[in-house]
Amino acid sequence: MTRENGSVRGIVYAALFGALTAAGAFIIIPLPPVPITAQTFFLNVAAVLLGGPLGAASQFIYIMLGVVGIPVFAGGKAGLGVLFGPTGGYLIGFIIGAFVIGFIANRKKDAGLLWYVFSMSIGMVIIYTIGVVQLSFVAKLSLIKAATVGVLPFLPGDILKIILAAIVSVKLKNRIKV
Amino acid sequence: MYHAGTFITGKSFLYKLDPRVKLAFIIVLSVFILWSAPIQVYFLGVALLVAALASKISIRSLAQSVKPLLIFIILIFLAHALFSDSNSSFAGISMSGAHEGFIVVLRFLCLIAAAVLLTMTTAPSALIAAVKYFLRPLKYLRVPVDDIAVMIMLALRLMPILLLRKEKIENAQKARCYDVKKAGLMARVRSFLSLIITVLLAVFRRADELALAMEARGYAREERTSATTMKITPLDHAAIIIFVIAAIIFMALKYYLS
Repeated sequence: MTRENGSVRGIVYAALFGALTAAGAFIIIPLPPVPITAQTFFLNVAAVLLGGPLGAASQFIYIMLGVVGIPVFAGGKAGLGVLFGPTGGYLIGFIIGAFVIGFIANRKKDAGLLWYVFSMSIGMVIIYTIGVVQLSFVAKLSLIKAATVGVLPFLPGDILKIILAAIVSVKLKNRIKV
Repeated sequence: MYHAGTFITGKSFLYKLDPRVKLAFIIVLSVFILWSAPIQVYFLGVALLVAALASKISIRSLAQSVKPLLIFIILIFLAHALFSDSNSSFAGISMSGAHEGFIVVLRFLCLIAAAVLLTMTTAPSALIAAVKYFLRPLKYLRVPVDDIAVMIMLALRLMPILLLRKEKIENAQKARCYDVKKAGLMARVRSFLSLIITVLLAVFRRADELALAMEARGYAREERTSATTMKITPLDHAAIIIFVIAAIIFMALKYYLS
């Protein structure tokens, strides 16, 4: 997002999706057996609809909301310490992941559901990788143990969220001009 | 919406410190908490408790901010206690593993306590001003720091609006006798999709209006002024000196212990 091509609309939409991701901590997708929060859902939608740079900006805003003390990180956490804590890697991954998702998704003109699912999956792999590396480093677990605690429990929910996010993105992509 | 760790006005000494000083303290402290020797973690924990008491932050509100993380904390502890590499075990739980897990959990608790102390004693607007101050070097990388500060403020304002909007639509669904709990799996997915798309379309419209209003009022993407002024006082100088001395002693001890 540079001064030349960023518009006021871009600023507002990045802020909006930052707020949506934050509000996602309080929005629960009612699915058995485990209710899941809507955060990575909004991350995916933001990245696809806003594109790489603005999508990444929206996630940066989300993290800043947490840093200034709104309890918007997973499990009602807030504060800068979280970024250095065991789960901080996922949050840093959010920014990079959103950039990559937006970048890949917009490579293809007239992209459909499958292309969105593909780009979101790549982004999720990046987020998990960064998250697990920091988890193993901070919590002093081996990489395999860290992956068992930090990936497996969330995988089914995230697959579902990717599919839902792709459906929503396809439906909304012509309704938004940034 | 009650949340632990949110700002509450007060007059004790942590409130009087400059937000930039506090933010810098917390960043350094976070690093110390993660890199300290096990015995030092106990010391840091006690120091944080003393700081909380001295600034009249109740232990109860500290405990409340930990509560949502309890399951994660237990998981981390068990991962260390049950899967430790050492041989001396009692009923499947190794003692050194349990201690190791306890230290990891304690480090985690210290991080949370430090962050909560910061956010409970600093108004969000002051904190954003401090964040902006520290992001300033990014300007040389052409990152629009002023815009980021504006975006954080916008997002802060939008969050409650979003949650209200969602509640409104859910209430409308309930008023029409829609019961999520009775619906099947596919019906739940469909209802979530329709809810989210309705909310998004409504807030997109709102965002468009907001962007128009900002443009109409001549919002320019350049250097901005702020209503929050920050001033370093003698109290800040004293706090910085004490903190630096404590940090040097701490690092010397860490070197001595290892």
